[in-house]
Amino acid sequence: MNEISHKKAHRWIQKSSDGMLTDREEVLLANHLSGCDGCRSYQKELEDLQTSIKVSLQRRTVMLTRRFPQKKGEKQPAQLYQTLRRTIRMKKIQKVAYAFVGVFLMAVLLFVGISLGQQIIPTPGMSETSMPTKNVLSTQQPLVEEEVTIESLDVVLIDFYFYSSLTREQEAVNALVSQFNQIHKDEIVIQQTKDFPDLAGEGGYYQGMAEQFDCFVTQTDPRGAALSGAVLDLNAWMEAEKSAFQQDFDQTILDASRYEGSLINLPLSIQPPIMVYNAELLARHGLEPPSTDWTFDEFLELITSVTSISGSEKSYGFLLSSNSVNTSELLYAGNDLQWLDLSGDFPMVNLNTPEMVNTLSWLNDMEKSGVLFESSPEEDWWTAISSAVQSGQIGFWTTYAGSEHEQFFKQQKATFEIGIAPIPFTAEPNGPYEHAYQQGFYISHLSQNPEACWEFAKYLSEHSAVLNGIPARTSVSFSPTWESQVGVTQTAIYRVALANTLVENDPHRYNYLLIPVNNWLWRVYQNIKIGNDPMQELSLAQQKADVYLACLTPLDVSHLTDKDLSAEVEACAKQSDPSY
Amino acid sequence: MDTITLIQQCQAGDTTAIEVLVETYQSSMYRLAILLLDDPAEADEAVQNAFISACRSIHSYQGNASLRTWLTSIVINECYNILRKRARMERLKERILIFVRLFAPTKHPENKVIEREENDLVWHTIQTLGEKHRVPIILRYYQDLSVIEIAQILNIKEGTVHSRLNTARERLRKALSHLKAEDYE
Repeated sequence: MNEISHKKAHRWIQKSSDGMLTDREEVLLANHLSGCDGCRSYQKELEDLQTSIKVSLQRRTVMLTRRFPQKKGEKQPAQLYQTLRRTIRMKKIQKVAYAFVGVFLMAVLLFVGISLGQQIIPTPGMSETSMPTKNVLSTQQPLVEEEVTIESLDVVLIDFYFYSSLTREQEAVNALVSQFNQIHKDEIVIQQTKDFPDLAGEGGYYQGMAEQFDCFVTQTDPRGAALSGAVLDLNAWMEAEKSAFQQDFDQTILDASRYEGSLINLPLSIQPPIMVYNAELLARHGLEPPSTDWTFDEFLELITSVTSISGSEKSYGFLLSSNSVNTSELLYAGNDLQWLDLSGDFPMVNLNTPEMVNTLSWLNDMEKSGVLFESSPEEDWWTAISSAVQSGQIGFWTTYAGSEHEQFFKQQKATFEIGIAPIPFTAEPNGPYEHAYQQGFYISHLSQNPEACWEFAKYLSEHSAVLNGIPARTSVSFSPTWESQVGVTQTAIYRVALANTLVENDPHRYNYLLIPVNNWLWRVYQNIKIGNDPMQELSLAQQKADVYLACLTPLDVSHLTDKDLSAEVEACAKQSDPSY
Repeated sequence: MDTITLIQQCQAGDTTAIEVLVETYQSSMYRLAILLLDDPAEADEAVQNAFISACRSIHSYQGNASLRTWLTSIVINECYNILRKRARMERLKERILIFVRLFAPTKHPENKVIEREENDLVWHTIQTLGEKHRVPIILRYYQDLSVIEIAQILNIKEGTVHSRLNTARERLRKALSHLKAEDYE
C-alpha cells in the first residue's frame, strides 16, 4: 500500500512544510508528486506563499524600524539597563527581607509550638504550597485560552461558534460539544470560542463570522448569507446522506434554509411567535383561557374584559411592544385594514384612506382605555413594560415559542401562572406580522474541513431538543423525550403556532424596505394622539412613501446584500424626508 | 560568554551579564514584537516589560527550553497583554461610536501613513488573521522556529501548532488568490 490519495498528498505537503513527515512518508509523497501535476502545482503554490510570507514579514520590520528610528528597539538600551538594575537591586532587597521575615516567623512558630507542647510536623500539603515548583515556561500567565488537547496530528481542529443568552441552552450546547469530541477524539476536535466575534470588518456579519470560525450556529437568513458569499452551499452534503436523514427534516423548515436552490444552512430549530397570557388575571375576571383555534374577535373580547384601570389594582389587556410580532400589523389585519400590498417585488402602501383613519383612531381609543399598553414617552421603555408584566398587570403579550419564561422573567418561572396560545387567527392568516425565528448551522467557505463541520452539524441536529423552540428534525420534535421535556400541551400549541406562521427564506427584506414607512406611520399615530388632523397627517406620510418607493424601484433589491440594501433604504428615505 | 554561563551570571544578579542578555536578544525580540503589534511604540513597551519580567523570573529558568524560546514566550505574553488592552479600548470606542452613530477610523495614525504608502497585500492579509493564527505564522516564518519550539512557546500541542499553521496558510492562499484574481479583472 504505497499509494496515497490526492487528499492525503495535500495534507502531507502541508505537514512536510512544517517538517512533520517521517522519512518514509516523505518518500511516498515524492513518489506521488512525481506523477501528479495537480499536487505538484499545489506544492509550488504553497512554497511561493511561504516565500511571500517571509519576504513580507522581513520587509515590514525593516520598514517600521526605518520609519521610526527614534522609537526602534535597536537604540542603546541605557534606560532599560537602569530599570533592570533597579529590578535586580529590588530583588536582592526583597530576598533579604523575605529571609528576615521567614526567620522571624519560624521563631514565632517554634515559640508557639513549644508553648503549646506540640510538635510541629510539616504536612505534605504544607510543603507543596510553601515550595511551589514551576515549569520553565510556567512563570508567565497562560498564553492562550484553555483548549482541547490534540494528541494526533491527523486530528482535524474545528473553530465553532454558538452563543445563547440563555445559560441553560448555552450549557447544553457546550455539553454536546464535549460529547462529540469524546466520540470523535481520534478524528475531530470542536473548539468553541467564548469571546464575542469581532464583526467590525467591512464584509458584514456573515463574512466576519466565516473569517473567524469554520462553522457557526445563528439565526437563518439564507438570502443574506448566500449573497455574502461567505458560507457553503450544503446541498451536496445533504444529497449524499441517506434519504431517511433528508426526509427527517420538516420540509417547510428545510425550504426556509434554502436560497435559489442552494441549502445555505442546516436548520436546527424554529421558534414561531406565540401569545402568552396571565392565567391568574384571566381567572380573577372569570374568563376562560384561549383555545388553540381562537379568532381575533375572541382575542379582542378577552383583552377588553381583562382591562381595568379605574380601581386600585390596575390591569391592561395587551402589550404592544413585542420582539416577535408586529403588533400594529396584527391589529390592522384583525380590523381588516388592507394598507399593504406585498404581492409584487415592491410593497405598495395605501396610507391616506378613511379605513386607516378609522383604524388609527380605534387604536388610540383602545390605548387610552388601557386595552392596549405602551410605556409613556417620559418612562424608561424597558423598565416600564417589564415591570408591568412582572407585576401581573398585563393580560396578554407576545414572544417566541420556548421563550415564554425568559423574556420578562430572567429565565426564572413567573411568580404567577402563565399560559400560552397561538397568535389568534385574523381574516388574513399567515400575515406579515409574524415571522418565525429559525436557527441553522452554517459552514464557512474558508473552512479547510467542511466535512468535519458537516459531521458536527448532523450531530447537533440529532440533539436539537436542547435548543429553544421546535427541533427541525421530526424524529426529535415528535419524540417522547422532547414532548416530556417541554410538556405535551405546550408542544401541541407550538405546532399549531408553527402551522400558522409564515416560514420563509427571506424574512427581512420587506422589514428592511418598510422601516421608513413604518416610521412615518408611527409619527402619524403619535401626532393623532396629540390631536392633529389624521387625514392631513396620513396624506403627508403617503407623499413621503411614494417618493421613497419610487426611489427604490429602479434597484434590484432582491440581489442586494443586507448591508447595501440598508444603505439604499436610508438614502431613499432621506431623499423623501430629509429629517429621517 | 556561552549561554549557560550567561544564564548563571544573570541568575546571580550580575548586571554586566544582564546587559549582554539584553544586547544579544533585544533586537530580534523587538522585531518579533513589532510584527505582532504593528506599532513601534507598543513594541518598545512590550520588549522592555518582557526583559524586566525575564530578569524577575530568571532564577526559575531551568534550561528545559532554549533561552531564545523562553524569552520569546515572555515577549509574546507581553504582546498579548497589550493586544488585550488594545481590544478593550477598541470595544469601548466601538460602543461610544455606535451610541453617537458616528463611524471613525480607529487605527493608529502612524499605521495609516504606512498603509497609504505601502501596498503589501501579503502583510495586510496576514493582519486579517486572528491572533491565534497570526502568531504561529510570524514565529514560523519570521523567527524561523520549528513546530516543536512554537508548541513550547505557546504551551500547546505540536498538532495544534500544525493545525493553526495549516489553517492560516490555507486562508492566506485563498485570500491572496482571490485578491490577485480581482486585480486581473
